[in-house]
Amino acid sequence: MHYCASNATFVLCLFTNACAKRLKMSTEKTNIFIVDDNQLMVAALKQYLQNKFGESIEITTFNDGESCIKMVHKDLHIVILDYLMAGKNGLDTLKAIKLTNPKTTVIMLSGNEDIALAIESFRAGAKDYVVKGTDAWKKLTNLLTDIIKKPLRFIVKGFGGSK
Amino acid sequence: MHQLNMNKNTGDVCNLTYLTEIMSGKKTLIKEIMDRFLIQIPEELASLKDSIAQEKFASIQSYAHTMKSSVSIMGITILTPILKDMEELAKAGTDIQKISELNNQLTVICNKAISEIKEESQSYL
Repeated sequence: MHYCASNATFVLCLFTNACAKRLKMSTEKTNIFIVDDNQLMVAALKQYLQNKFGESIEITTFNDGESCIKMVHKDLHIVILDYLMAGKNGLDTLKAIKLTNPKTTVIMLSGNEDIALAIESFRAGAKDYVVKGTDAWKKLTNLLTDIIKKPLRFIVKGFGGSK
Repeated sequence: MHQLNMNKNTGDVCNLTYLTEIMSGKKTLIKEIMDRFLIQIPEELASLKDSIAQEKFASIQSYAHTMKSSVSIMGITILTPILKDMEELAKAGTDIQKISELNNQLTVICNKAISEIKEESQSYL
């Protein structure tokens, strides 16, 4: 923290500190887990996201909910989670993730349009429910872009910037 | 019985336009996914065949569901209604005969897709 004489300068220093924090944050990677028992889907999604977001993300993949739950940590930012998996299903995995780290953003993926499941997922803390298909990849990109860029927007908004 | 509508221009069952698009045309990435497909699909077909032989409806439903994602990546759209029907029938736990017929169609189309992908992957070396 910089100590400044006037109020105006103090505000400016706060802004500088916030930006410095943001710069530090921007060098840190966004940690993403992909959980799906379809290895082809996992491989394709990993390649796709890595290609889109490059070095700014770190992806770890799992083929079942149990393995994912064991690896949830405090710096886990995003989980892309399939619903229908052998063993623990996506909804139970989501609940377990949220118990360990409520701040982790979970995006539920499903092969079926199931309104009841979507509502249940939102109630359990999912940020979104994406139905697998050709539009799913674009939707995931938009969601991740939004999540990854959020801290900078928050800072700008806090200092009178537009939304 | 589903009509086996293949690509009218080429007779191919696969359409790699979508895969090429999502991988931004990067050949190494496309090749990796193709290789994964060539390993995974025969395994899934074998598992599905076993599950049908043993009338394990839950497994049939699960494999049909998984295969829907696998084939969609390779643009094998003619398989989507077949797999959807298999999944629905298995969920209802009825008509193993119909499931078996659908599986025969699935196997024929998947084998054709495997041949196409094998041939295509040669140009991605």
